[in-house]
Amino acid sequence: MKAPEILSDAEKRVSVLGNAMEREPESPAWAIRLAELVRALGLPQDAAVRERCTRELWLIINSVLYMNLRIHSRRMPSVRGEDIEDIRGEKSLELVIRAESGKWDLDGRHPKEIAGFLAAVARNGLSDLLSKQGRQVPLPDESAAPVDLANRDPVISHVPDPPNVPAERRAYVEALLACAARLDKRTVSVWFLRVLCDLSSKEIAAHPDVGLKPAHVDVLLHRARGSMRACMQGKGLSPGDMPPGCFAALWQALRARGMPRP
Amino acid sequence: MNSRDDSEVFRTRSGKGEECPSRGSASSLSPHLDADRFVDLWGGWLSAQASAEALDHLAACPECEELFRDCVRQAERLRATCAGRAVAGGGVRETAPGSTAAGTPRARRHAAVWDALRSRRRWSATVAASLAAAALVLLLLPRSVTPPEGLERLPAFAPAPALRSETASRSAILSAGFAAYAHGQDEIAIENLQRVEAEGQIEIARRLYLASALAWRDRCREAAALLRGLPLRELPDPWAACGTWTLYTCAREAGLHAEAEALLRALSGEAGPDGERARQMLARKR
Repeated sequence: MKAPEILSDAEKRVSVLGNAMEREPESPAWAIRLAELVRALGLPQDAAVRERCTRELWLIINSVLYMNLRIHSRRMPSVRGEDIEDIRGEKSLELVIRAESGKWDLDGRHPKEIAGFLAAVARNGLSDLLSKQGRQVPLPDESAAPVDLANRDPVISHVPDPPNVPAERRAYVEALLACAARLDKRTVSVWFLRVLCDLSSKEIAAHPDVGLKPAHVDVLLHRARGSMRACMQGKGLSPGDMPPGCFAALWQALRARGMPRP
Repeated sequence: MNSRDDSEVFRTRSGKGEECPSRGSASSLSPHLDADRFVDLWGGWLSAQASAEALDHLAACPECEELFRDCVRQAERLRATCAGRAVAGGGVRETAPGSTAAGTPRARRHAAVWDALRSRRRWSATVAASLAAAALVLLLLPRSVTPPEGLERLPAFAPAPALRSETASRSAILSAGFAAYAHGQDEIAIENLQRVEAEGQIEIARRLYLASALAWRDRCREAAALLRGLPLRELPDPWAACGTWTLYTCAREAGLHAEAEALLRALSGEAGPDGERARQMLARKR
């Protein structure tokens, strides 16, 4: 089997999916990939491969910490977005440095253990922050119920969608995708990153799917906006009519077409 | 040009308050997605069925959809940060001229962390290359500096890396200095340890190792001046005795015989190898 660090994106996905089929149904697949990357960083590599591994490792750790911090801090009004960013930055830097120096050994660790560890890192970061703020509140005891974030706030109040909303949502997403298909791939990426991800022009310009100057991004955005509005109006739809629950479907569809990918 | 127009225009109806807190449907009876499921979905690591189930839930649950949107948003921002600061040939290269992502406060925060990481790795690479070059030079050239007789090296020292992004670069430079000293590369150690300052115990260690490296390069007066400013007696062993021995050696080399004698007598009362050496030295003098 090839070493994980030299797999192409497609191979990587097959590899991970293969692992995912072998693993227990509830085991997080990102943890398997994380262990592969940490292992790869412990091997002698050329600089480019190390760079790619570190970058992917950093993205995964950041995303996991961020989601845990967001979910844990939902009932903590004193925790600001900047606090979450700081905790995430510190912890991810520490973990990546440990991985690079070979001091973070994940061999033999179960994916759930890895997930539990990162959840604990996030929780402890919040706990430290609250201690400093003098507003310590007890956090859920994870030793009793490890990584049980799914039960954070069960959906108990169901107000059913009107019967036509799922169909309306589907139709709206299809219309948007049809309009997006008239634009070139990079322009769609620019549009997606601004409209659905709220990135600034500078951030979009530096994004690997774009790679332009900020001024050029603004020009593309202007054109994309006009084009999308006209196209949607031609289909009898208005951008303001976007039904709820469209983001994930739109993201998935755009990703399937090779537009912004993780 | 108003860059935020689209976000306003494409705001969903729920954003305008027309929707209830939960968009209930059959699929929304499932529990909320957890952090792992969000990341797996973002990474494309879910099976087709699990992915479809998660997407169904997101369509029905505004809270989870907002969290997932946040997940995607922050991931794309990080990708922009990494890509805008990718390294080519050891230097920082931006994707396009003037297109660095570090424009917004949040992006600057990401960039600071990524830069700290990059800086640390650049330093590691620099130190590795410097060590190799220095080793080559040492092999090819005769040693031009003779350290004072009897000088001993301090034990290896490796402080824990700093966590905060603003101190991580500084910490990386210090670590490089301590590592160079441990490898006997005193010029590199001096360069790194003089470059930055630290706080508390790390600052004391920095001065102590810098002084030792200076002494090994036969810069005894500078070393002695540094060591005199340190609370050597308050340091834990073996650093207290090693530091005092280094100061004794430097004072002797600098011609400060009275000071050297006093240090030697003080050391002779200590246990350990430095005390033993001091006692032997005094016995020989007698």
